[in-house]
Amino acid sequence: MSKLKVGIIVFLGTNCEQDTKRACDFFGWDSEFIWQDEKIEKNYDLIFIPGGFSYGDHVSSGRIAKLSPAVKSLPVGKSLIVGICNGFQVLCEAKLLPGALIDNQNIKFISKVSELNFQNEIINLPIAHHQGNYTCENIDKTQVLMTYKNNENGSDLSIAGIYDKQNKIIGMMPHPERAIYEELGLTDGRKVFKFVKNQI
Amino acid sequence: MSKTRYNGLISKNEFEYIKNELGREPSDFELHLFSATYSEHCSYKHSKELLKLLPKKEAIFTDENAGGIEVGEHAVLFKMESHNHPCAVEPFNGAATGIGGIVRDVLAMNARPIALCNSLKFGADKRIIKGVVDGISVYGNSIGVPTISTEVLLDDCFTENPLVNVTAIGLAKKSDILTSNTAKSGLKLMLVGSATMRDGMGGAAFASKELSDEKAEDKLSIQIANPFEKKKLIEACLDIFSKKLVVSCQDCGAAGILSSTSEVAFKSGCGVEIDLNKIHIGDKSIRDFEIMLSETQERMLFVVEESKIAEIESIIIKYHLESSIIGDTIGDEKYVVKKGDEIKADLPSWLLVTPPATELNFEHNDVCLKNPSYVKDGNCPEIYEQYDHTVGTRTQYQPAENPQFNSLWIHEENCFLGVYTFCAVIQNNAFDEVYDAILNASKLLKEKGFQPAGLTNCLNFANPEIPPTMHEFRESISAIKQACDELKIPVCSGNVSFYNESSSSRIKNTPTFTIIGIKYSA
Repeated sequence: MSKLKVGIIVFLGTNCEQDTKRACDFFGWDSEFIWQDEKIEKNYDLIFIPGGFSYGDHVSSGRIAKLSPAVKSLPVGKSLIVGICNGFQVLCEAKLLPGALIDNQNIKFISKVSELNFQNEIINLPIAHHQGNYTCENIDKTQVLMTYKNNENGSDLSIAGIYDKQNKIIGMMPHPERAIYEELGLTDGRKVFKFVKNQI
Repeated sequence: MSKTRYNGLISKNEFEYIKNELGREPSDFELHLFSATYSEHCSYKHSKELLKLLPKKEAIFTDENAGGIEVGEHAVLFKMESHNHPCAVEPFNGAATGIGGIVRDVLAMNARPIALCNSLKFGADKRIIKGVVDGISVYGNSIGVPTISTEVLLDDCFTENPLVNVTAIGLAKKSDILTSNTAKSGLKLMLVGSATMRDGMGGAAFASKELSDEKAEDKLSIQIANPFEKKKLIEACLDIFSKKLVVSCQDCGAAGILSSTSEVAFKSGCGVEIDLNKIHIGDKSIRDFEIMLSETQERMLFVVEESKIAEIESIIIKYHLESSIIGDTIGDEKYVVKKGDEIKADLPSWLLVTPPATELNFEHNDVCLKNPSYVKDGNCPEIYEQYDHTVGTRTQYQPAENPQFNSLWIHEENCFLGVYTFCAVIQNNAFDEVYDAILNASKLLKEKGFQPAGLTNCLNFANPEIPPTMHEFRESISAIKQACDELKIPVCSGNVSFYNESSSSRIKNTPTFTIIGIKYSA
């Protein structure tokens, strides 16, 4: 089987692109960065929108990134699109996923390892965000991908990650790319990456 | 002209010294330059001689922006710095720009910042605690550098004078390291990053005096943080440096353009000629000397060959940054500032960075202002949970185990760095307390399997002119020297912060440290 082709979008202010690429390398996937100003014309199996503070979160997180040539040219339906943290915020802002991410209930940045319900088991992934409080009217429960066991940020239905209706777009607040290596003690991110691959 | 026109800028002694060396009276513009470079903050005039006693032999780049240790083909460059005075006045921006400043120190050497540590000393003022923690959280998280080691102590002596010390750790390939001493004549000075504004005016001089009650006025001295501009600057610099387009680099920290250009000139043994009209300015009301002294954040000084400018500019535009060619390096070891054809300053480079010797008072005064109040661990989870400690995917431990300690995976060299941040609050015997703190820290690293390799420090002291400050400072230096000699580790870098006192209170003198150890994977 040929290697998985992965694009990782980088905006000014993105800061998880290297971690995401390193995780792709770990799985032997063929990944490259896509700069914010590029129109996406190549065929990718998978496109990541990684975490960070795109455009400094100016106006609102994800608000300016959704206007970039890269996001406007996302091959929706062709490539699997996965937004992590700020990437999830971008996808919600762009209305590619339902709902919105607002300030955490305690109005503080939360950085910790969170216990999550994912695919009928509990996994541990780092969370690190200020606006991860997911809110949505009438979310279709079949679209829920991942929930917080302890709902650290106050999300509706404890939602930590969702799909779109066609299962071609995924958004999640936790950082699976930071939980890959035995050396660092957390490896449950592998389960998320394997799941993502199976969605392609 | 008034005989006391130097009042509030430099001392009479310094004025006479300059006049004598120049053979003329310095101009008003030149006086403002001296007021910054002769400040305690820039010149280290009360500490310079004693700091020479610290063991540095095993460290690398100890005369640069950040010193470090070698790890295989890589260098780990790290430095601790204080931002105490700004945090007392404006906690959020004070703390945030403290992170910004220390990150620039490792960045200037072409090291990617990979971790931050913070050592915080607070009193009862909750506004200060909240502001400082927010500042570190917002800035560090936004630029994508994990904060991995946090020490918090509470004591009444820090209520009006909080201590905010931050360490940045950077990783560079040894062969790619840039320094500030490699300029030569015939090159261009390029200022990269934010347009120069009036913020942070006189910050260096501000950090060199006791806090007055006029904090409203001091607010003018505070730099404004912009983590998004910094993140762009980090990526642009590393992109430009990776293409070997820059000869020498210095960050614009205290005393901004003035100190960055004068340091490059002095260290490299050349001169500089700057044209004020060429500098990109963000505030047209700025006065000429303010352009030189402004501490507008998120700026770097590059020394470049003219032929490389176009390529550098194209990268700067990609990252939505600004730049300007502000002058030249010249053969004479002179520091010249022009405004068009008008000469504003014409000084020997060495004179600008070499103040007259300062008399030190080592008197030991038993009747000191210290209260026998206790020092206790601060309330930590609420603080460290606001710091992204996992970005970068190198952090081994959750802070809950021991917030002061963590381990960083250097996968490039298949090893781990043990990082521990600690302090010695001097209560009775400076030597014993500092010595014990370092030995205990080393013991902790060894117990966790790390071989201590080097440390950085930040020496927070009260007014050096009033006993027993200098006595305790000298005792602390002796203790650091003895402890490091015994452990066979160098002091890789450091910073001194004097004048941590206000009209009604002074701090207990508090040396702060980050020690680093190495463990190679089995």
